[in-house]
Amino acid sequence: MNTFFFYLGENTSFLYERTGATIQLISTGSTRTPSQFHVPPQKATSPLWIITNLSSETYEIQQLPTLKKREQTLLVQQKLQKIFTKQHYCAAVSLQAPVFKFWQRSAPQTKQPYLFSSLMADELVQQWVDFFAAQQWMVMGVSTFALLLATELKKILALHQKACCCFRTPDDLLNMLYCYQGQLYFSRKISMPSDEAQLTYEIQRTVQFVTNQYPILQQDQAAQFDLYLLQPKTIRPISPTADIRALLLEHPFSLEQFFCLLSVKNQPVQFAPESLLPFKQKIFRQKRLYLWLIIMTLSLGLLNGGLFYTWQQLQAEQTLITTKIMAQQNQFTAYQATLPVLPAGYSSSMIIQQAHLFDHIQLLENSHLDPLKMLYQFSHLFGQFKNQMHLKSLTWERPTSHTPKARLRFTAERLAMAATLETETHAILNLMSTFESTAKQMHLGVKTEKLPLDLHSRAELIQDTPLDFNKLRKKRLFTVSLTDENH
Amino acid sequence: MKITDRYPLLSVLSLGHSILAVLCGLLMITGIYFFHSIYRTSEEKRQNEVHAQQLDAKIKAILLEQKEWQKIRPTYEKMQQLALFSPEKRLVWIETIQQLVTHLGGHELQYTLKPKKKIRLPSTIIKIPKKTNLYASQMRITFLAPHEETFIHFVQALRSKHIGYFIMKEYQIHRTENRYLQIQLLLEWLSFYDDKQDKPEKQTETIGEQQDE
Repeated sequence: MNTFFFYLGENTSFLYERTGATIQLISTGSTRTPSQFHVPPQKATSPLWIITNLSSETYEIQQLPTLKKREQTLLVQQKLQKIFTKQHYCAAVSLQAPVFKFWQRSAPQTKQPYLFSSLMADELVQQWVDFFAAQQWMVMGVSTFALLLATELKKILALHQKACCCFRTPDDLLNMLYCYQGQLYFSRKISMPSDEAQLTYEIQRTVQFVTNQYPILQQDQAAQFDLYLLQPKTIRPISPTADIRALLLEHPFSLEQFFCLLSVKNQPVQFAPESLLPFKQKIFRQKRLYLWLIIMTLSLGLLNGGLFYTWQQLQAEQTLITTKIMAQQNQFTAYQATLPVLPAGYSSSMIIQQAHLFDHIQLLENSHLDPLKMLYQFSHLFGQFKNQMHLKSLTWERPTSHTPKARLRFTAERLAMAATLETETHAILNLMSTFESTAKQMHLGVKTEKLPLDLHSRAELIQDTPLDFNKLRKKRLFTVSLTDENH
Repeated sequence: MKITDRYPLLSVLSLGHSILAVLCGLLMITGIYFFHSIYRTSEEKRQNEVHAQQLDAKIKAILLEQKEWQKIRPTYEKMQQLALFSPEKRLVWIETIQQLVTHLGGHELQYTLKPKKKIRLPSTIIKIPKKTNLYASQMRITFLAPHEETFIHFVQALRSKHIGYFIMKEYQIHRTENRYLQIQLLLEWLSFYDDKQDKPEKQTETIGEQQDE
């Protein structure tokens, strides 16, 4: 998009078009009669700046208290209305030079200087605004050299504390600015000097005049100021000893150069009233907002994509886990169905423990000396003696250790009475051997007590001396203690 | 005062801006929804993982249990058959004993039945787990039998009736003067049934006494 600059001088007017980095003069003409001014074909989207350098421009510098941004703006507006009651095009700009080094913040100041500027000949500007509006130009705003310099140059000069800016206006006047203690000062307008001595003198005089700090006599102090020429692309310091007049003549500071400088800087404060929209600012804001929104949208889109992908992954994992849980549940139910139905109040583990205990009890019960089996065997044994031998008593107790015992008492009351000696001897031997064999079958250890004769000596006696069975009559024949050999 | 004066940014809004802003808003809402969904799903996933682990442990436990059950199933069935998990059938015991003694030719039956008590077998023989409650009701039976086999048959028959499981604590057989065998038998009827209402009593209580002449 091309930008147009309309310079409104006192006698002449120029229309410039900026395309990229170059500025071209399109048209020139009289300022008094807008109808005579040649206007090229209108471009609806091209903004137009009207820059005036009318002699009726007035300045006023006042110190305003430093407030919050919004309150400061309101205060400046009120001040503007108060100072320039009737003027239509008026504006204010802070002369406080900003500090660009972020680590060197300026100390908070209670007051800061403000430049209040206004166009005294509103009707001149107004007719041109109307003229361009009729030509369907989009007028961005009205500005002056003073405001342009105040807004743009103070930033440059803040970097070079001892700098003085000297520029030539299209009216062949010399104007000077300099920055002192963070504030921007304007010089008076000087007629373009004819020779170098006059120029040097004027510069020195101007500096002394505007600063009121450096007397003319102190030439060396005045020479401390570096003279800067504003050039299209760079700001190059020039030594004060250089041929200033030649430089000025060689590089006349013209509007083209100034526009080039402006094109890389921020916009100046505008004189534009409400009806004249800050077109460029609006476009910039629109673009910036667009950019922000697009970045936001893209970021959010990417974020959402990532979140969605994560969610999908999680859901897939969740589905897998749910399927696994279902399978596990089914498996669990199937396994549970295989278990028997337990009686109320019993848990499975409890019953398992009880069953193990019961098994143990049964095992113990069977491993004990089975008194019934023993009794059964001996009852048959007694039967062999045809009621000659009887069980006298049997006592059995549940063992409290691993060696169960039982006590068995027999009587052989009728044995001696009814048998001969030899028969009796054989009967006893038979009885004993039967006992032993029976006990062996039952895996029982037999320990006889209180026998009249032990078994071996008795065996000898059988052959030699008959037993005196009369002694045994009506006496307990023997008592047997049985032990379980399994233990 | 116009709203655009107060908020100058509003004056630069266009349709494109509105669409982008709405899109941004929608994306933000969607993002919040996705974020919430992720949070919710991850929470559910965590819970499900815990649940799955619990189920896994349960399945392992039940498999072990199943193995155990395969081992103890015959025992459990026998225990059920012997009514070890149900209240005691004391009347059935008494009636059966009486019938058996009569049938085997015994007489002068006397019995004493004590209340159910929690028992502990001697630790040298068997250790009962702490949480396993084993109860026993002591029963003393005395009767006269004509022969040793009467006693043998009596015990075998009582065992084969499956009216409960008893262990013999002690018995004594004495031959009387009239050549009968006096049999004194001390039984303990075992049970795993935890009847909390029946509190164990310290004093011995004679439930019934009968003499069969």
